[in-house]
Amino acid sequence: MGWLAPSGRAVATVLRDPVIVIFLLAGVAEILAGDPLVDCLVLLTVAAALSWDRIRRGPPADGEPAGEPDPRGTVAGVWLASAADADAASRPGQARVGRLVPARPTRAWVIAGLLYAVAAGGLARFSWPALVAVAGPGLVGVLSAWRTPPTPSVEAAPIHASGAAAWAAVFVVLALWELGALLLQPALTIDSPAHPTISVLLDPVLGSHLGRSVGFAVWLALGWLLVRQ
Amino acid sequence: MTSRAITIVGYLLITGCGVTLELSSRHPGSPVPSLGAVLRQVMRTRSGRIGVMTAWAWLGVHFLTR
Repeated sequence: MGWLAPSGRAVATVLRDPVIVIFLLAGVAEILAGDPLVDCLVLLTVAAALSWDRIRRGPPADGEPAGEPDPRGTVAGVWLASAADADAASRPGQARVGRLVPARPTRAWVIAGLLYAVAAGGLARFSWPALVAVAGPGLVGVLSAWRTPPTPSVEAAPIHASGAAAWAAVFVVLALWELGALLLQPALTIDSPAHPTISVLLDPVLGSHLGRSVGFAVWLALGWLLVRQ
Repeated sequence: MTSRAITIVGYLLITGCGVTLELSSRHPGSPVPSLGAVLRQVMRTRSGRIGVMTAWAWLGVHFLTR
């Protein structure tokens, strides 16, 4: 029974991180909603990886940004560091974000992104190629976040708690409204035109090659904006 | 008003609130931060940064693969 105390401490350490808790709850909600397995796997895999990382590093001091382990200590870290070092060496002096994407959008990157969006938008829906087209950039984005050092507090200007709460309220209300629409469907896996979720509303737009290409372009641009934060 | 219209109006109102907050953040001295500032604050921590990027990746999987 000696393992109970360390296990309890590990669980407590993990549950102290709200991001992990949110991903666990969202992953379970995805399962209950009957969404495709890959949707919940994305969330639960990241929750598991963050949990493992949190237990390995131990709980941070209150209010202290989490520390950064040496990314070269992992297989992905070695691969990313090697690729990034080679890339940085080929473009000396250019600022890098997460050492994977440029801080400023060069013409070549913009054209490549648009071509990618046009090609990916033409892939068949519910197909493995479409999933791979999303998984590639998605993986690069998440791995960039994994290896980017925390921003020193002096670089991130403090924000008013009330203002941040207002933004949180908008997203919570949006989530509740979406949940309400989902629960008012005839069944969780049966779409309802009378109570449309965001997915149902976007279906006609994302059903065409043009709409999906625009969707891919917007998604890639959003990812680039987030990576450079 | 149909239930479909009510649902859509709800989404539009919530979007409008977000746009209003973003616009008010542009005023000098506003206590409301921009969405970008909030994200920067969240992404100061390792798990926050990974969480935001995973949410972005999930949006792609959820909306663009079907």
